[in-house]
Amino acid sequence: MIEYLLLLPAFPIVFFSALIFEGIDRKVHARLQRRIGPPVLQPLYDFVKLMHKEQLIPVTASRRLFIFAPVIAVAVSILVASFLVSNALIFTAGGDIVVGGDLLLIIYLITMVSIMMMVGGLASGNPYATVGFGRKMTLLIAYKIPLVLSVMSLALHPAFSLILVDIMSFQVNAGVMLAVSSPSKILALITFQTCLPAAAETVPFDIADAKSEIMSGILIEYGGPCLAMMKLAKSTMTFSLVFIAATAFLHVPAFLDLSFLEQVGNDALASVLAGIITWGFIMATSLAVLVLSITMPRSILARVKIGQAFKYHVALPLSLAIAAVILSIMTL
Amino acid sequence: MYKSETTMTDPTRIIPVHYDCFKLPFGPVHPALKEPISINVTVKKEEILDVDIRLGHVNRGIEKLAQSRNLVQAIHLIERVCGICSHSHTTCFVQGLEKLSSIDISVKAAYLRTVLFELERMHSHLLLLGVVAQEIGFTTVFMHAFHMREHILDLFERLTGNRIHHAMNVIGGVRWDLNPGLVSSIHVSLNVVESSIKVLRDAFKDKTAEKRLCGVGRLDPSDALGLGVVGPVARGSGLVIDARKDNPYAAYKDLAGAFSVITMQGKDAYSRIEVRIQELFESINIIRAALDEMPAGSLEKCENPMRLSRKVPAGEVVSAVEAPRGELFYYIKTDGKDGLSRLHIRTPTFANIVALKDILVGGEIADIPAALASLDPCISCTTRMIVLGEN
Repeated sequence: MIEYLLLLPAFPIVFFSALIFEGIDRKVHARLQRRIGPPVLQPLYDFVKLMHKEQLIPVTASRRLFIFAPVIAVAVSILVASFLVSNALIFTAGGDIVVGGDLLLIIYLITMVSIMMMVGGLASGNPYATVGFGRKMTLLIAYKIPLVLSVMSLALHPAFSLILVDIMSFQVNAGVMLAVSSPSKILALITFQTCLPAAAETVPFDIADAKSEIMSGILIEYGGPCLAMMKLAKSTMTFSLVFIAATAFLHVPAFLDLSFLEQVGNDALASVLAGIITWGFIMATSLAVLVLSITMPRSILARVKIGQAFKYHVALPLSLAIAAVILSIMTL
Repeated sequence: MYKSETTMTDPTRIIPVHYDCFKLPFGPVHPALKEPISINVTVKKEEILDVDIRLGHVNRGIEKLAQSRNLVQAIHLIERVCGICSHSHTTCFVQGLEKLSSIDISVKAAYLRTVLFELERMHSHLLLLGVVAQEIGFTTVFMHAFHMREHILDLFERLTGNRIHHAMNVIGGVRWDLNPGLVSSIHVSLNVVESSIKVLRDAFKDKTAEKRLCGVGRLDPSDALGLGVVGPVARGSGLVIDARKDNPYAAYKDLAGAFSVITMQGKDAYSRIEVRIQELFESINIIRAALDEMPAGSLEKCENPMRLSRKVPAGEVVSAVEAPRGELFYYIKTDGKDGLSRLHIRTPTFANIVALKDILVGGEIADIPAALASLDPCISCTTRMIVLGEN
């Protein structure tokens, strides 16, 4: 149990990285639209400001659920991201302790965040939130199955497990990114990437909190600290997803040759430098995944309707995921 | 941090929500609405069963105000009916007065009115295309459209000194002339805007945009004719209605060869948007033709508008122009003493908003913003007077 204390240093890293990732996402989105855009730290400013606002609770709301849903959502999302970050940190530092569970648990905890946000919206008693709840439920069913299948297909290979550190060490030992190691892994990565916009709830799949249609849907009654927590939960969830893609599928440091660091002379310094470079590459890959599979679609596409989104997810990611599973069983 | 003691105190104000079939208030305050209009939609899950439209949140009493002013002041007031088609309103009003007092404006003045008219159509259509893109979550196109619109607004500023309310029309002509430098800068801006509109046209051919607009808000030609819709809404349903061709004014008689009436057969929101994109190209053609065919020489000096306004005889006249949103109609009754005894304005939105029920019922909640925006409603211009209750 004592190794769970290793989660503690990951909390601030997760908090700041998630908000800064959101800031970079907004900045790139703005530059793609020929706008200057907000400062990169804007989500952090928003968080601090919202935390100082008054908390209003509508009379139609069921009070306890309305307040506790965002709290649980934010707690779970930070916990999930900390599992990922602390494991990756320990791995880059050369340690062999595994904190927490496997990728399946992580995916289910991410689902928990979405569900808590839905529950909070429904607890507000607003008809728009009701519509948003229905939409989010449908979307959740649509993207969650391919997402889980794509992660599960990793474990169907005899040499693999679902523990993140095992997957990362496999990549380092083989000297190749998992995503390009076999056809089934390529399919699994594509499935994961195509599910990302829906999982991160951005355009074209921000159907559940579409501003111009249902006035932000489930978030309509939220303001002040609860809204700050909802927003933090959402950006942390996005961060976790891109972090999974960057470490489990696209571990770039796997094929980096860091032997030039031996010229430093000092072994301790060399290993610290290697750790920093590896960590930098992991974060850079996460950012690249964020920009390419979340920011770009949201800049170049319009919001689709819920029926269309469902059809899309059944047609493309689900069939890809099934193909990935079948190929994995055939050990391709 | 502080906490308020009470939020909403009266428990009788809570309306129970029935989750299978309930009323969704869409407005008067809603992110998809730029102006207040109340649309109560009865929905069953995502399907719309019934629509109830209420106008009247922003009645400004402009007709009544105009009746208490002299004619020159009234032009100023009427320009402020709409912030987007301000030139259409003054043109319509002024040409009615000119018809009453049998004034023939100079050919160059007529051309200048036409140039402004088409520039105004361009900036109105660009604004709407941006708004539609925003409603369907396509913010990049929204930014692009508004970026282009700036070129047109800058042109307005250089032509008339004002970006929105141009104050260009006076009784008997226009206020400002063009010089060769301005003509060339109009050409330069038009070239820039034309290439950008092509990008916009391609952006609306995006698969997701098509999915959101095709088949949404269908309005059959027979229904469109029965409801009496005008402008791009009617033309999107395949009706050939355009006051510029049917009832030419300003310089449109001379320029009739330079443009054609755009109609689309799709009958849905997408074809209404497509009509407007094509009309942008037609507007560019009209402006180019007008600048080429415009009589050389400077603008003829017309009589003092104050003196002309006092010479307007008592009588009544109707006047119509093709505003960006459709046919704009004025009924003007003068008292012969430099005043108005009755003014009635029928804006194109007043004709088009009645189609809202037909295009929404049977659709989904997600279609409301796109279908509503495809009508290009201008609520403040439309709201005239409300009658509450039967008596």
